[in-house]
Order: sequence, then structure tokens, then C-alpha cells
Amino acid sequence: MSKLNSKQIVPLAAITLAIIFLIVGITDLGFWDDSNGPMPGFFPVIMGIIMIIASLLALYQSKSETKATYRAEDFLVILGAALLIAASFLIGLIPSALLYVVLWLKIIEKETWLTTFKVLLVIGTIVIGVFVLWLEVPFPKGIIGEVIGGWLH
Amino acid sequence: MDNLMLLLDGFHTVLTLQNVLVVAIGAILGLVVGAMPGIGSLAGVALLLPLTYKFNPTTAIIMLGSLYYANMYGGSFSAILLNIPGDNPAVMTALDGYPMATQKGRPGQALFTANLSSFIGGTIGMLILTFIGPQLANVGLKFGPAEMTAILLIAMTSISWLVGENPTKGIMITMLGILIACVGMDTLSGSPRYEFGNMWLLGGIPFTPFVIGTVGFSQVMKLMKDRYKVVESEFMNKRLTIKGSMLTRSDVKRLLPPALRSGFLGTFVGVLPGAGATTGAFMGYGVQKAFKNKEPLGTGALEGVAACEAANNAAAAGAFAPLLALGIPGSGTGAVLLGGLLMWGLTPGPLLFQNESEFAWGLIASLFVANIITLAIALMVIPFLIKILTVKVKYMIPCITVICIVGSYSTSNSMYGVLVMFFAGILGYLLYKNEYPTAPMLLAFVLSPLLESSMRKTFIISGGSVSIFFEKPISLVLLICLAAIVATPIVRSIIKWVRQANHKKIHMS
Repeated sequence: MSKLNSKQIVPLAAITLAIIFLIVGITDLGFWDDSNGPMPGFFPVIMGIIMIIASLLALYQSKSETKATYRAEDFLVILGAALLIAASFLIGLIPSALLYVVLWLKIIEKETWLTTFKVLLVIGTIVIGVFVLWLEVPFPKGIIGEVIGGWLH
Repeated sequence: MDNLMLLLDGFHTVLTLQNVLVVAIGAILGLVVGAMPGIGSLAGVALLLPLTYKFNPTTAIIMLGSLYYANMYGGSFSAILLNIPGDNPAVMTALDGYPMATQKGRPGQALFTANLSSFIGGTIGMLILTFIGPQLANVGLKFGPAEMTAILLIAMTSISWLVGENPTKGIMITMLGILIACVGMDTLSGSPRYEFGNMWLLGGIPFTPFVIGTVGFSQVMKLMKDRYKVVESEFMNKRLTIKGSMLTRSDVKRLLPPALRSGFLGTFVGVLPGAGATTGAFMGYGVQKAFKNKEPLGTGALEGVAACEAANNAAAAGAFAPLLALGIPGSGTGAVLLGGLLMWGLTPGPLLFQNESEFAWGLIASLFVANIITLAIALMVIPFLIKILTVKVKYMIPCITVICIVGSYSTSNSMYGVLVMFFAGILGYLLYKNEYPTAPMLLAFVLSPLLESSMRKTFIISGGSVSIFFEKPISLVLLICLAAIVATPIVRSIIKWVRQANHKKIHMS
């Protein structure tokens, strides 16, 4: 049997998801009630059935499709964003975001400090000017930010 | 005449200093983001959505309208100067725009033609919208739950079944959008559903972070392959000026007939579900071929640029008619716009023009204002366009990532929004890599609650019988349309198969 690739994994994942929605819809939520008509599971169950049929067809068609190719560096974006999100719990979201821009440009792109500073200035102005000062979004300060805030008070 | 009076009231709502400034900001941002390489109108509108949170609902909606509309202008710039279409409708603009700029040596005039034609097409589209929008809403008022279910099925099927290479994948992805939208609370009873004991999931999947992830964050991953691409342009060292870009009297004479014709054609294409600005641009260009042109199309003819640019902006304006009057967007960008309107408590649909008249006419009037302001700004940015268009992708990657994360936090005020954006981005990237279109998923996600409540109400009325759809004349006609839409790709593949079989037979004999 040939190895599965993502062209098959996507419809298989869709079938799994639809089955979960189908089972929960029928068993927990209910499909039809004689006096009240359609129950909360009615609509998702019907859509789940259609999704299973479409996914099975997509699975069948995937045999004749060429394999999807992935570039390792595309996943650097996911890794970088994951680290940014994780760091935000420690040092806060805005410092993490700005640090991320610096590290990305220095480590991944090997840019000069001058270019890094220019890009940081542009994105920093947008983020702080628009989101912090104008929209007044209460961004998380992180554990360290909270401690420093506590000292200052 | 009533409509014109109501439109004047709309102008009264829009023409405050704050609103005009907001339209101008929306126009500048929409234009710049629309022109930037690799972003496109769908991701552009999604990324700019958080900016509307600062305003009151009317102003926020006005800003959304101008963002959406200005994005339509931006796509043509890179098509003309770099031969890289900024969005799908601009593919046709590149055919004549780029040769006009390079071979004919008239880059400024090509840009001016695109801007002026976009303005003319958009104005025609908005004028027609002023009259047909409320008429369409009157038709919509006759719709009960059965008719609403049928029209929503048409809207979803037309985009998932007809748009894209593979109808099966379109249907699958539509269903995925619907199931994701089912998470949270049941639309009719309000009881929890598919939350799997999770407090965050109980509130459902938030719209803005989901859209920012699916189209914005996934776009960053797609951009990685282009990060070292060097954008070459022969205009890099030349300075384009506004004065040097002016059209001659003879140019304007050549521009007007195709722009007016495509303006009308594009509007009607835009009103049809599933056929948006791209179809409008293709049809506008196709029709122009049948008319006399001073230069052959494809060799840098001004008429070619005018025809497709007027058609795509007219289609973008025309698409507002079903969006406002029936609550049905014709494209992924329209779905994002609809989501934004719903977020602001405005429910597009047949009752909109009656119950939320100020909103509806304010939005339509804001499109007129946005059209004028965008034209002015689009002309003023001509000298700076090369700088905007040649921003290096490698600098945009960390910047867009940060905007995605900060923007999704700002719309939900919680890290849950950021996580939704993050996972939706990975989903969007996987779907792209496996050739699944994301626009049907967004459309389904937005329309799912309305489809579910209409469908359930229909079955409550009929006691579970599907015959209700065939008993009412409007829903019967709509179902016939639905059947025709479903049959189209099937018939097309049968014809293709028969042709191939005949071809083989001829070769064999």
C-alpha cells in the first residue's frame, strides 16, 4: 500500500471531523423531536453527511493528483509565531512582537542593524501608534511586565 | 425619486468631518494594501478589519466600505507597472496595461486610465445599486424561511461549485466552514453545542481572528517562497509625475465608450451570486474585443485597460445589491465585509432598507464618497507607486505576522483570539497546499447561522416535509436555479468526455 500524503490526509481528517459532529449531533444534541421539530443536531448532522460524501469523493480523486510539496522554511513562520505567542505570557505581547521582528530580521534574514532598525521603526509605529495609543487595546503584560508594574506601583 | 432622497439623507449621515476623514484613511490604507505585492484584497480587508473597532457602528461600516472599495483600485497598479496582477481581476488589466506602460512608453497614462475607468465603472455600479438595491429588498420581503433557505443554498453552491477547479473540494470546504460555525451556541435554542466542555469554545469561533488567520497568516507562509524574489521594473529609476500622467482629449474620447459599456455590464455581473469582479473584468474585456479599437487589444490599447478596470469596479459596487438586500455576498471579500457588518450589529437582508435605513443609505453614500476620494488619492500616489510596489517581501513577512497577532488580540481582547488566528492560519496554508479554495469556507462560515435558522424554521412549519420547497412558486424557481447550477459542471464534464471519446474514435479510424 502506498504511503499516505497530505492530499489524502486532508479528506481523511475532514471525514473524521464530520463523523465526530455526526455522533455528537445524533447522541448528545438530538436530530428530531416529534413535537418541537428539528433539534440542535439537525443541521450539523445533515451538513456532516454531505461533508463525508464530498470528502470520500475528494479522497478518491486525490489518487490521481500530484503530491503537495512543502518547503521547510514555510514552517519557520509557524515556529516564529508560536514562540512569539509563548513569549507574550512572559514578557507581554507588544515587547514579544517587537523582539520577534528584530530576531527574525537578524537571524533568519541576516539583515544589518540599520535595516532592522528601519523596519522595526515602521512596524513599531504602526503597532504602538494604532493599537496601543489609538485603539487603546489592553495588551497582556506577561509575568515580568506584571511584576515590574507591581514594583512601580 | 424616493431612492434619491434617501441617498441624499445617506450623504447627510456620511458628510461629517469624522466620516470623511475615516473614508480617506480607509481609501489610503485600502489602496496601499491592495497595491502591495502578495497581499490581495481578501487578506487586505481582513487585516484592516480591527481598525474599525475604534468607531461607532455607522462610522465603522463606512470605513469598511471604503477599505473594500479602495482595495479594488490597488490591484491594477502592479499589473500595469510590473506585469504582476495584484489580484485576480487585474489579470486582464495586465494584458494591455503593461504593454501600454512599457512598449508605448505611457505608464502614467495607463495608470490614469485605470483610475478614471475604475471611477466611472464604480459610479455606474453605485447608481444602479441605488435603484436596484431597494427593489431587490422588496423581492426579498416576499421570502419566507423556505425561500431564504433556497437562496442561501444557491449563494453557497454557486461559489463552492462553480468557482475553482474542483467542485468536490469546493463542497467539502463549504461544509467545513458550516461545521466550524456550528461550534458554540445553537442558533435557535441558545443551548451549548460542540464546545466539548471548553469555556472558550462556548462563545464560538470568533469571526475576525478566524478570517485574519485563514487569509492573512496563511498568506505569510505562502510569501516565504517569494522572499528573495527581486522585483524588476524599468520604471525603478524613472520618476512618474501626476502632470506627466494626464490623459489627452483624444485619450478621454477613447476611454469613455468602453468604460461606460463595461460599467453597465460589470454591475449586472456583480449582482449575480458567485460571479464577482474577476468575471466582470473578463467579460468586460471579452465584450470590448467585439468593438472597434484604435489599437489591437493586447498591444497596449487604452480601451483594453478601460474595459476591464471599469467592469471590475462596477462589479464590486454591483455586488453590494445582493449583499445589502438579501444578505448574500458574492465573493470571499464580500463575505469578510458581511462578517464585519454583522459584527457591528447590522444584519443585511430584506428588512435592512426598512429597519436600518440610515445605515444602508449611509453605506451606499459612503461608497460614492469613497469613489471620489479614492480616485483623488490614486492619482496623487502615482509618483510613489514604484516605492510601494517594490517593498521587499522579506520585510513584509515579520510585519504581517505581527499585525495578524496584534490585530487578532485587539478584536477579541484575549489570547483565545490569537490562538484561533494561529490555527486558522495553519489550516488555510494546508488547504492552499492541497488546492482547496478558502473563499467558500469563509462564505459558509458567515452564512451558516442564517441558513440553519431558515432551514429549521422551514421544517418546523412543514412538520418535516420537504414538499414545502416545491409548493411555493418562488422557492420552486430558486430550486430550479439551484439544480441548474449543480448540473452545469456535470454537463460540462459529460460534454468534455463525449468530445474526447469522439476525438479518440476519429484517430482510431
